[in-house]
Amino acid sequence: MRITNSMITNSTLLSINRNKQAMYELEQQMSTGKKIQRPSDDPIVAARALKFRTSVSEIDQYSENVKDAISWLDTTEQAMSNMTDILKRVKELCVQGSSDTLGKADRLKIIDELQQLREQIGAEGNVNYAGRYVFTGYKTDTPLVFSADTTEHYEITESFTSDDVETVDRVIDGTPPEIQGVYRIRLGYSGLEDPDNSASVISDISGFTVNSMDSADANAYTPAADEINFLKDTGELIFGADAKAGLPASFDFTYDKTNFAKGDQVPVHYYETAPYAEETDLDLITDKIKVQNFPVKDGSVTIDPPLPTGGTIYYDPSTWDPTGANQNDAAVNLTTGEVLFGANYPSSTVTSIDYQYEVDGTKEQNINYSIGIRQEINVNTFGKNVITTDLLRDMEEIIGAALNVEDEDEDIQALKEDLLGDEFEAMLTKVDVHLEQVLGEEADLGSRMNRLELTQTRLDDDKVNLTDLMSENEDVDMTEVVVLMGSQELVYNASLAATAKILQPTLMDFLR
Amino acid sequence: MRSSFFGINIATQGLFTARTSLDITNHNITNAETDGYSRQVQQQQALRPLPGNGDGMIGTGSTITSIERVRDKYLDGKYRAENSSLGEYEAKRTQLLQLETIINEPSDSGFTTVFNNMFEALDDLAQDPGEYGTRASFKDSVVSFTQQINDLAAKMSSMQRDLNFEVKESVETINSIASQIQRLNKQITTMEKDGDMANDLRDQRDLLVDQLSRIVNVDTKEVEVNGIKEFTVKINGQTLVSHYDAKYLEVVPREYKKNPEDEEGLYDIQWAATGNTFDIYDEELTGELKAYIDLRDGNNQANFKGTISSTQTPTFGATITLEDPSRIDIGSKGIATIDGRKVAYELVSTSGNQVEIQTPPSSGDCSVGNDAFSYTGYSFSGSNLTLNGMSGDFSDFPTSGTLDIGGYTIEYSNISPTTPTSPGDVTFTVTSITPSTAVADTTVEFGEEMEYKGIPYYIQKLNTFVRTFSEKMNEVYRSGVLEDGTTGQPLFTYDGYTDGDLDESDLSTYVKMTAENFQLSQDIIDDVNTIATTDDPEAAESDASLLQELKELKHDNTMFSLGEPANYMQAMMSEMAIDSKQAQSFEENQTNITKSIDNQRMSLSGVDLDEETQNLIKYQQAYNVAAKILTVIDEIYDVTINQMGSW
Repeated sequence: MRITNSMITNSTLLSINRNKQAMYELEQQMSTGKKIQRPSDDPIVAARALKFRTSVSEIDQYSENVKDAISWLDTTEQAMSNMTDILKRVKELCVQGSSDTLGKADRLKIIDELQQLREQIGAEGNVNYAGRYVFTGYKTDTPLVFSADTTEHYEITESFTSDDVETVDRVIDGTPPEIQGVYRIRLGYSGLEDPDNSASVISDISGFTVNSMDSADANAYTPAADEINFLKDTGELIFGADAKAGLPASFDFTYDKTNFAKGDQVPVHYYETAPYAEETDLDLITDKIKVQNFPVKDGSVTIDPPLPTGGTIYYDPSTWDPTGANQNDAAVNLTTGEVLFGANYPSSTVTSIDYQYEVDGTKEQNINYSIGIRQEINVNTFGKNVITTDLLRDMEEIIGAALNVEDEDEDIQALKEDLLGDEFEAMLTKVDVHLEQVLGEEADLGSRMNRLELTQTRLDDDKVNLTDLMSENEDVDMTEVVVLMGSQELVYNASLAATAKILQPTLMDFLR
Repeated sequence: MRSSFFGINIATQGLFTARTSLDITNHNITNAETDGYSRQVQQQQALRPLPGNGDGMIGTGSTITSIERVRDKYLDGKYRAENSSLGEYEAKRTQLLQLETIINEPSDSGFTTVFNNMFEALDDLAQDPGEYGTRASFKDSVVSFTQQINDLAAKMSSMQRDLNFEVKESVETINSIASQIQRLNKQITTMEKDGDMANDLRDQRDLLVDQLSRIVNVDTKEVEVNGIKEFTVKINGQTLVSHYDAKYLEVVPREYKKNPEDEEGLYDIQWAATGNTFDIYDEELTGELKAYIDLRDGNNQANFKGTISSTQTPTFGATITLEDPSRIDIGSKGIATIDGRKVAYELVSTSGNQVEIQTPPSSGDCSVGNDAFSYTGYSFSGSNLTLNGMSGDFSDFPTSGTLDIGGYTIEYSNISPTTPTSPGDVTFTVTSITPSTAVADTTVEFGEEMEYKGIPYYIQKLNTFVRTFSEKMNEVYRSGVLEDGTTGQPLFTYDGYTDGDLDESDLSTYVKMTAENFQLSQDIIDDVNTIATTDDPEAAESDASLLQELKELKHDNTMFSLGEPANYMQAMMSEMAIDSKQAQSFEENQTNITKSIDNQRMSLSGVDLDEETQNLIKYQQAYNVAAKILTVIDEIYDVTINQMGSW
């Protein structure tokens, strides 16, 4: 074959170029530390690299979630362990209180401390993690217990079963005064009111008349056999014998409460409630007003100034005709909180709207953190399971009984003192129950904490493994690249040298 | 008796021959590095001998009969065929590398990263939905995600425009080469009239054909007609230059898009003189042009396909229902292939399982004879076709003849009014329509079915991704309730979205959403408090039940046939990478093949300086010796003339 100069130039150029290309690739691998610079260098490695990246980023996120969850649980656990200490102290105080030789001064001291402890329980209930209350389900922006006295107005509905009726001893002012067992249900709060805004002051329970009164009223603890006394100051329902026997298996009781003291539970975390709201700063939209809280309670709306004569408020706007039949009326959309007005009552004339909205505090609201693909952990503990209504009411009652022990009538006072001793003793058992409740929740928390710690270890392991795999997949083996680079350099140099040798001389060089 | 000066003549011939040979050698040496140059050699022969007087024929010296270039047509043809493929793969490799750069994976800022970031932010938000910070960071991460996809699509579209420009450039280069070849043909013919070869001009012409073969597959032929050599160049089987006659190509912007993802005004190619199509989708086509077309228009067979409903007997102008559509995102007007015939259509409506079209479109252009008209509407009943609002030049409007409209050729025997004015309604009495009306159960295709995975394919993949992903996310998100009671809002919308445009139960509403306009709901961009986190109207601060559901979709492996959303995008990247890698290795192989043929060519035609040096010396010596002979003869004359008579 004839070999011509341009052939040599061409092919040497091509091979030098290819050697350079190989050098360049190795150089890039060395400087970036990656096997591939673009997907086409190795589509499989590239696809795998993306998958690993996703997995690593997920593991990082899960790890962070686990750390967050652990902090949240730590905060909760601290509050619960404080609760345990408080309850232990309450128990000690009750042991002291149950002693029959308790003088007035000692008693006052115990009461004082019990009151302090009750407040402390409230403070523990309001513990927060990064500004979010930990015991209140989704309502992380509302404290579990009131942190100051307030005049907020709530309508509260409690649900009971007939088994909730208990027998308690009360000193009955008769002739002679005596200690008698009475049937009662203790409501969630004391210092109550009759529910307003409803047609009858108080609804009967299953056909039995409910009398609304105070504990100091006559016959407060001795209702007629087929009647029920609602004691507003102490928050009790007292049942006559027939009423107790005739109770349905389950029933609701609704009452109002306006004044909450510091340390009282916020009803929205415990009961079905319908808080009262008054809005004067109204968001006026032509022909309608939207109230801020909803769903609105059926029948609870009043509008000021009143509707024109003959005007009614409808709670079902489905047949609403503002320019026809409903010119004088208003209609409320309960679910969206929109209030519509008839043609004769422009929305601009409204100065205030009073209404109630519904909040169901009995729902379980789990806050879940992701700690794996389709793996979640519930981080919150419900306040109503830790700081139970019974706990606060038990403490309140024992404090009340102790404060209330003095009476003008010496016989009654003697009986009350006697009863107080028994009550302190009974309180011991109750505190044990509460303690067990808290410890139960703590154990649950502990097991979740365990799971989190295990998960953390697993995630750490996974991270190490995945990072290794990822590195193996896409990172270069430096030693290998350096060796390859060395040999490639050799080839490159050789090709340059060869080219220099072959290109330079022509026959001309050898002619004289 | 020979002439006394006979010897001088032979010697002079020797000098001439040697000088010419030296000149050829000289020419070869100076052109050793000239592109496309083939070495020239002289054909030398002994002159006609003289019959002697008894002592045999006597030689009369040497002469050069012709100067020829050393070249093999077979190798040229082979080189050009391989060079076309090389051009194709080289262009594909370059373009695909660019596409890979756009995709930007694997990296710390590519799709995978922003996609993961978005779900991480969603998870953070689910843990603390009340916090402004987590809301804002979720919003920001979704915006980066949508922008990344918008950007991807926009860059791809811009690449398509660039490719379109390359198509135009290629056509211009082809035209320029055609005109140069045509000019060379003239020069060569003129110069070769006396039978000599115009070697250097031929080299130039061959070089031009070599260059042309990079752009498009070529074929050359040289035939002798009446003693004149006529040189013909064909590109992809069609004549580009025929002797003195060059035909030129031109680009015409498309009236209708081939793929719904296409940019406006992509070019088709046609012959400038005749207006006949240059088929850019021909299977035989190779070269850079092929690469640009493949990448610009390639849809991996994902063009629209459907079947005319079996219950239909469609007539001209009637709405045709197409069933089992392969896709429902279709451009409003286009060219449909029905039973192998191409007609213009207009989209009437789409739904999830059928597409309705009207053909020809309700308004457009038509022509009668050679005059162009436009119309704004039409109706057809019995044998009367009325074109509404027909405008154009009505002078000499034939009362019977041929009307071309949207791919249909209509023969008519009469018109009313007989002297139409512009613009106005014209009613034609139709005698025949070709092609005849479509038949039920026939397959209908829109656009062009192409194997290659080009820009339209990838944009379509992105569109499918955003549509499906948005639809699934919205489906869950719709149940969300805001603090003010607003419900049923979508999470993802698109630029130009108005309330209620999207409906998860009717996927055809998602057609307007594309990778380029897809975005986070404008409400959320404006106010992060409008991110719904729950489906409970009584929602409290930390209720994130809705977000928990949304989060699950990241790992929803039923979302795409390829699995989770991230897998879909990874698969797309892999497809691109594999094509790119394939183009790279093809290019490498093709380089080897082309180089080897080129070497064979150079081995034959190239100038070897050693050889030429040798020749130089050879001819120099030939010259020297011829000169020496002259001296010898001179001395003979000296002796004969001056010395013989002076005794």
